[in-house]
Amino acid sequence: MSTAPVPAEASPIRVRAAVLWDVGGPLRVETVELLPPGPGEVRVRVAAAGVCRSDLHVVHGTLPVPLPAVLGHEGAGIVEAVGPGVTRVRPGEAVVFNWVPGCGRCYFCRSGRPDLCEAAFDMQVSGTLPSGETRFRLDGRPLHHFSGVSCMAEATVVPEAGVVPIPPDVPLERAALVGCAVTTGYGAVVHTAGVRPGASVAVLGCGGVGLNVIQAARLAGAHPIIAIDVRPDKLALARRFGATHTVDASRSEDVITPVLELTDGLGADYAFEVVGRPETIAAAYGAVRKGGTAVVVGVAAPHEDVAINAFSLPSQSKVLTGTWYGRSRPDVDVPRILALYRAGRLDLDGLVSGTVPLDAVGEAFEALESGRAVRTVIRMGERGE
Amino acid sequence: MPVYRDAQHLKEILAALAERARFSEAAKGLREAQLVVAFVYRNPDVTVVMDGRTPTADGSYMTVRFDTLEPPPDVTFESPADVGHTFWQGKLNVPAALARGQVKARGAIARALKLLPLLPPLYQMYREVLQARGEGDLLS
Repeated sequence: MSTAPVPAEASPIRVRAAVLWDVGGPLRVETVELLPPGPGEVRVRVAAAGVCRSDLHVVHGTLPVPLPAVLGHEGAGIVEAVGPGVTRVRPGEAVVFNWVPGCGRCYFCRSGRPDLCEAAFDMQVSGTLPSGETRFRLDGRPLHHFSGVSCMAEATVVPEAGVVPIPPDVPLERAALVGCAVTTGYGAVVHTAGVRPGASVAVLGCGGVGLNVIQAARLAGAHPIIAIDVRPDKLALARRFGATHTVDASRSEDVITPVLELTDGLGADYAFEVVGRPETIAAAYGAVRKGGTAVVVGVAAPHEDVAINAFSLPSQSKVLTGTWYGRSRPDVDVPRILALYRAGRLDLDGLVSGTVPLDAVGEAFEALESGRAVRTVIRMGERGE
Repeated sequence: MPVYRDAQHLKEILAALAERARFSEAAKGLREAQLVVAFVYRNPDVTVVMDGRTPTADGSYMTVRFDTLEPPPDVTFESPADVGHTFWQGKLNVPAALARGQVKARGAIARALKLLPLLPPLYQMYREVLQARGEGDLLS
């Protein structure tokens, strides 16, 4: 049996895709042209895409990226064609998308921090693939990629490093969530914070990523795990994912005092901010004990600032840090997370609050914005009524 | 729900506290320091000025005003009203709360912090005010 990759056909294909033309929306499902994968690129037939708050930030303009663009950065599918020089995957392989495809050459990749890859960041802000080109066209006009993934489409072209092969028996609608929410939350706990058994953890924000912070903290043996959110239904879900205590932030603006009360007046060893707002970032910092660590997972708008008590920096020796994609190595973490899922140790099923066809992408965004949805999965092979 | 139902609820409680406290050692300390201290609360939004500088007709040590920053305060403490409730019960470590960002302070903070040792009787008065109003369940 030959091991040579199958080359992509030369002609474009037509696919339906969720296109954001301008800030504020609406998202339109358009039939667009998808050019063949270039060197080092692969075309993936998308099976499922999760609707993440970062996509919503793009719609709102709080995460500024070049438009028009095909949205989506969390998903899974089957490799359909590969461009010249691709060796890591073959057509027919199941993959999860990786929206921080490390180049392997920059300072950060070479020093073990592919999450900070310069080329991947440039790709994200330029709305192109690493080649500087785009593969989507509508009436001859180029459409930008989002985070090098653009998986809210029936098929997409991504860099070779932007896919992680997965076992064929994992349901792709579940694997899709590992493309962002799960890996980010898991990585924040395991890689960024390094939570140890018995450590106290506070989690501000119990959406798709926050729930994964909670379940990763549970896997790490943390106790107590204090979930904080303004929605009682999210807090109930947080309990299912491993929270030992909940704080309803809709009842009081002061979420620090309850954390102090649950941690012998010290504050938590670790706090995870999974909202992306200056107030909750400041609260996460305030909620950790002296010498504790606050990890900012949520993505705030680029123009926003956070006020931190200056005296506390030297006198309390806290660590305030952030995490981008959970400081993960997707090639290692994605298979590991899926193995935990298959072993029944990590819940992916409970994250899915709804499944919709691509035509209903607008409703999925509304559900996320309203707070009703944890994760809505767009099933690509399905047509709306 | 927040501790205070609304701004009026918070004002009534603090007004009753001020009435009990205007001849207290804490108020006397405020007068001797010639300090004007403002508490700016959020949720509900109430500003309260405790004025130890302006002379009073009845010889009490301070005047309390709501929803004004007159006379200009020497020091301002800003916090959620719920944190204020913790403070008035004597359960807030003020320097730690400043470090945690629960309370933001501006102005002559060192002068104001010197008054902290005089405050415990006020904490007791606050508890008495709530109990007298039949709201002892708000105490923790």
